Amino acid sequence: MILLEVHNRIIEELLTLQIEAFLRKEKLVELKTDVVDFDGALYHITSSRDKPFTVSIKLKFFRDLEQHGTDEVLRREYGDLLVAPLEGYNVTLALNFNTQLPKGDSNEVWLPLVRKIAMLKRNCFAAVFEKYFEYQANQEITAVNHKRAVIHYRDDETMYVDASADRVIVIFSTVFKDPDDNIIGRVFMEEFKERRRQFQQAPQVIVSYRTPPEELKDMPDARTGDNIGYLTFVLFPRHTKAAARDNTINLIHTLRNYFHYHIKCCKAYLHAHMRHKTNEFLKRLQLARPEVKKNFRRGAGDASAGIE
Amino acid sequence: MAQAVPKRESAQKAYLDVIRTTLQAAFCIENFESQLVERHNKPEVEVKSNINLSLNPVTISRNPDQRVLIEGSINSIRISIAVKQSNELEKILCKRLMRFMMQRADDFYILRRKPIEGYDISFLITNFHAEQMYKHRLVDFIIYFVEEIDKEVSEMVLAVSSRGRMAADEFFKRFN
Repeated sequence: MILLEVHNRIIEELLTLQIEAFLRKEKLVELKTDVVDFDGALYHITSSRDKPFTVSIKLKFFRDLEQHGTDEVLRREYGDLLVAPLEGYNVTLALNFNTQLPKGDSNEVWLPLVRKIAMLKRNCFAAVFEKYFEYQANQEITAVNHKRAVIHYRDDETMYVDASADRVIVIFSTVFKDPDDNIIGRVFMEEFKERRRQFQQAPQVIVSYRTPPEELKDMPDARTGDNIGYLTFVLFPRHTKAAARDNTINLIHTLRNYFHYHIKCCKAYLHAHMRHKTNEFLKRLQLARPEVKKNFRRGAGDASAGIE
Repeated sequence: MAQAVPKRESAQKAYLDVIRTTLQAAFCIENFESQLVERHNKPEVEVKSNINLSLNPVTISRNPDQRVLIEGSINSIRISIAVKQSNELEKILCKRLMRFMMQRADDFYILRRKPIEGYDISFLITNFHAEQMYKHRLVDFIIYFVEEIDKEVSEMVLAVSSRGRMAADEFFKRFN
């Protein structure tokens, strides 16, 4: 799998199993689980016979997102599935199988709903992006009072979103905790920059190491250091127009995870490669030992030894 | 008529030939018990108890980055190899590969757990190893090792870049 999945597979599978059991009129299993996802997202899922199936999400940086209108977007997407958040969580969805399940003959009727619920985290992010895409679509010039969005989606890493008349700029700061990761990460960033040239329709990519790029020079708390990298994506109207918006949001919001996932895959592959090579060397070394010949001959005087 | 520039393969071959002949000369090892401690048998090249028992160390260098140091003594030889590392990525890959192998030095038999200062990996071959394994094949192995390490490191660098390229391609393809 090369691209990360946008939806949460665990939620999707649990929900699908429950709905299928319900539709077959079987007894529903009592569920109460905690699930984790990228960026420190914590889900709490409960389900039982009398109460509706609930999914709650907790994001550490939800305050940052809230400022940019997550409420509206979530209400728009989920409508009456949205309920008051559970204690300690940021958003809760509740699906009552009896009343809220779309009726129909085949599976396909309720699968899209399941998928939508599994994309809860993505929809939380969507709000920020949509707001800035709107700014750009309305061609508001920067003199207006909107400022850059700063989302601290991980402990040391931040995402900045800003819009101007003809483009939306998304900047990811990323930390490489391991020094080897640092170097492999740099190679990857260079490749991203290089390969973008092949794909004219992709957003423009600018990379910078150690220090924040030009756009962030007015942010005093942007991190600097040897193991810090900045990836800047410039999204043009072709990416931010209404038809392409969903696709763009899907790809951009998991970029940091995608990047680090591939670095880790690379290291795993190298490890397997080194193991294989070491084994080859060992086999070659075994050649240096004299071969052990099995001796069928009992003695020089044995007449039967001559018969082959 | 200008002299033909020697091809890279033959320059490498000359380097390996020199290493081979030096190794063959240095492989004159035999059992020698320790003169200082009763009943002990230590590799003299490590202990260096007496200068009479050690040969002159020989460094064969192709360029300042690629060197081989061969130190001989009466009952053991130590061979240290410095591998070419031209950029950051090659440095860390080489370091990882060497560390990986040195952790398995027990299985590897003739490998030393720590390289000598200034080199990337070291072999220690004692008379006991030479008794269990053919000398000429050990020499062959060392030469094979020196050749293969360079190839290995470049293969790994290629693997990293092609993975980066593939990840970037997949990502950008999705934008329309």
